[in-house]
Amino acid sequence: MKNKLGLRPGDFLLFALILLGACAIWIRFAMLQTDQVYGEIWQDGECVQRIELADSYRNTFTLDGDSTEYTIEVDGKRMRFVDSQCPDHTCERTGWISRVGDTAVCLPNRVLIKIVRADGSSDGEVDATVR
Amino acid sequence: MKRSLFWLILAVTGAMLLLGGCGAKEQAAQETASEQQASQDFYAMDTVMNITAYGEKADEAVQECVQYINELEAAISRTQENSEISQLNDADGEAVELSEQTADILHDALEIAQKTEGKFDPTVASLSDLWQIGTEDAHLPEEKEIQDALEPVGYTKVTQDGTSVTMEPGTRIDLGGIGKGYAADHVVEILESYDVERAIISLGGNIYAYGSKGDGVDWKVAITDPDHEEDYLGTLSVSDTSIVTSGDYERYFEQDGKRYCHIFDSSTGYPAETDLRSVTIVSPDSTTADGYSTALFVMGCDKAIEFCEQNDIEAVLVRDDHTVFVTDGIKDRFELLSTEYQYEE
Repeated sequence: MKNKLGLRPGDFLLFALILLGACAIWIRFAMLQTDQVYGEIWQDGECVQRIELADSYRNTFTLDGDSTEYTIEVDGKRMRFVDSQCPDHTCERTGWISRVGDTAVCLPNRVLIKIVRADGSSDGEVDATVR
Repeated sequence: MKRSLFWLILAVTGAMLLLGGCGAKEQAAQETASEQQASQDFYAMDTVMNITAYGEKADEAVQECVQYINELEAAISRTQENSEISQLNDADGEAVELSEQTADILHDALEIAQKTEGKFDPTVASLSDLWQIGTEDAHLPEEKEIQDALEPVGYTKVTQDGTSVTMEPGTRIDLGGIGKGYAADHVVEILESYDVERAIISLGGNIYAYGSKGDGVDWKVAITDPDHEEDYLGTLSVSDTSIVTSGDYERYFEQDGKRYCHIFDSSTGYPAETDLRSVTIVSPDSTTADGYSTALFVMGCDKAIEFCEQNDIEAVLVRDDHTVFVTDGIKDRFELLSTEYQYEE
């Protein structure tokens, strides 16, 4: 069969590669936009740690706060205060935070942990939580 | 020739798609420019706060709100030595002249105390100091200590005439029970003055959903599950209103298997013993919502329901038997999410 456009076999290959590349870029971009979440540790209004949360990720962060040392455990896509040396331990009672927009705070140390999207926004399934 | 034409058409189509995408981004950027978002976390009134506002002058508006709250705290804090409330608490029976704003918030506090017959009482400072709940020194005091601390408690021991206030010697004011609510109401006024279109104001867990989320869609505000603070009990879909909760799960200590929460019953001197785990008030007036949430928690469920009916208050009451009562006015706005709770029959 004669090719009416006069295209060569290499042209089709190139076309397919371009299409494949575009799809890959689009999928990666879409994943970044929707799925990737980060855990942030804020101390005195400054972000001191930003953690890319993933199912297989486990770590603990022990840092010096305003009043005492504090520890944050990260387990997959959730995080929490543990073994806090602060006076009231309210931060530990908050338990795990795992949803975008969730926050927990250690007041004596002026530490806030939160789950955010890649662009730093915290638009989650709810707009705010009353406590 | 045809082959060249094919690649030319492909290139033009690709370029158009690319430009189209950029165009969309540009449009979004323009929308963002006309509806700028400003968000700030900050510490005030012994808690963490956040204001997220949308509007052309959102950034300036949020800055002014933060400044306002800091100034309000400096005036009404009872732990800052030079605050107006500290001066009032140290006056030992002498009359003290307050600023109009501090007199205004004290007036609101006394009015709520009167309306709730002391179930909310701004004079429980001596009890808070004795029990130390929320600190490492929290403990169950001796009965005599409690009775001694109870002696100066009572909103009727405060006489206010405009900005002039006199209290019986020993009586001390703590406006922590309505401070955040009062701040939220005035933050809303500031946002209005900057033509902010919408905002979520979170002052230590007190929420004000200002405006709507956009295109008439309500904000979705979650209520904390008293048993599992990381979970939601349910959600409220609301616009232009404040939502304030008082519960026994944030600041408390346990001794001999008994939980003592930070909300005091001014008639006993003990932390409130109630069949409620939490009370959430939904009202455009955040000051009264703050005071009423405390008062209704102390009242207990039956009296709280009665009070809501008599005063047209919208509330979500969570009982210790895992039943939830929602007033008629917000039933269609509330969604129960936790399977551990059920509606009261």
